[in-house]
Amino acid sequence: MRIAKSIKKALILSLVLTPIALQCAPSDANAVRLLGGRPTAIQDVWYSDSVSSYGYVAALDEARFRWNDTSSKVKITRVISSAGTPDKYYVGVSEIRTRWGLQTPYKLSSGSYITASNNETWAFSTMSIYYNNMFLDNFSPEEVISNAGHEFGHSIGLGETPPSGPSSLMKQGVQSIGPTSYDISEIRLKRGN
Amino acid sequence: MKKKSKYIVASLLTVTILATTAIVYHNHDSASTTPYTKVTNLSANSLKLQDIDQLDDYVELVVVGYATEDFSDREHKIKAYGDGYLQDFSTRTNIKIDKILKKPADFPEDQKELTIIEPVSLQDEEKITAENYIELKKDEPSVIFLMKNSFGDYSLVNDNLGKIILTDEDPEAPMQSLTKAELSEYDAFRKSVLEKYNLNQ
Repeated sequence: MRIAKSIKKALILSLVLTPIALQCAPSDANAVRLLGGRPTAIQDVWYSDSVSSYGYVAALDEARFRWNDTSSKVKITRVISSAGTPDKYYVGVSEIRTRWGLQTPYKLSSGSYITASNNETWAFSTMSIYYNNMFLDNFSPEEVISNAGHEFGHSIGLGETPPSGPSSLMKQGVQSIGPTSYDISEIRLKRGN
Repeated sequence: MKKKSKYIVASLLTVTILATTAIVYHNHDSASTTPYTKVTNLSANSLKLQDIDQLDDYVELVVVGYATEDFSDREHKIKAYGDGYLQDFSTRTNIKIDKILKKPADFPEDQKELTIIEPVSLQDEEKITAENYIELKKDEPSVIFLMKNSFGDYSLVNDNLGKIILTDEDPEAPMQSLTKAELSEYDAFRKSVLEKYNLNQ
């Protein structure tokens, strides 16, 4: 009799509490750090010819150097060959009017590389900044560096900082900043000091 | 008292079984009509405005309208670089315009149809999106925020905050939904959009 009562109580409690527990799950607690990424942030990057033809080599270098200063566990080195799995950086065009950059991870699957989501482990990623939209929005040289740096930030494992969050290169939009103290703390939490 | 308790337990069990069956049926039904088997969500740097006045100032065209075709029937574009890696992706979505809320001088007042560019695409059973953008659903009236791109086409901007569903439905698609934080952000923004354009029903 007592056992039956206990089972009944447990059943009722579980029916009531399970949905509440699911609602309270911290699904977005680490939104700024991607669940996925390369295994480490000691990585190479190759610049496509489009980078030099649009005149953005110096901007990309500056964006890269700024991230390299944030942690001993982050080192993005430019290489001159695309062979192997360096990240690849391009300057392209987008039909999405207010898209200024994109990072696309790739993972190995059945012997070839396919696109991966940003919550998966990936082998390398490509990064694009979009000339046509930066041109339409009259980007200053510092804004180009920030835009390029934002995509580098994704490539080393950071997601977007919410608009309501602290000052951050990883907020979306047009900015003129490098990695902030918040970005540095986030990348160190993700990759180490 | 004993009979009453048994009745309560039996009722709760029945409700649980019915709910589980409904969820399983819904998922099965969605999967069988979904034109993709995988959703790839990428990271991008794009416009993200949460203030309706700022967004209204920024964009060129705001309409109330709805997509006229299912997602799978729309024209999907994937553009690659010379070495085959992804450069850009989009979908050309035909919409019917119910009402124009803001327009540039050269946009006809009586225009009822428009093809817009959405930041999502479909290729070989893979849906590619960024910032968890969820496409416009067929026949679902929404407030849509648009700007002309460098090719002369109107492009939906501000990702999931660039299309606000008029009814109380949350943006969702098979295998894709907004996170709790995104949903809260969307709900707050939706309220401000409906207020600004006097669309409260």
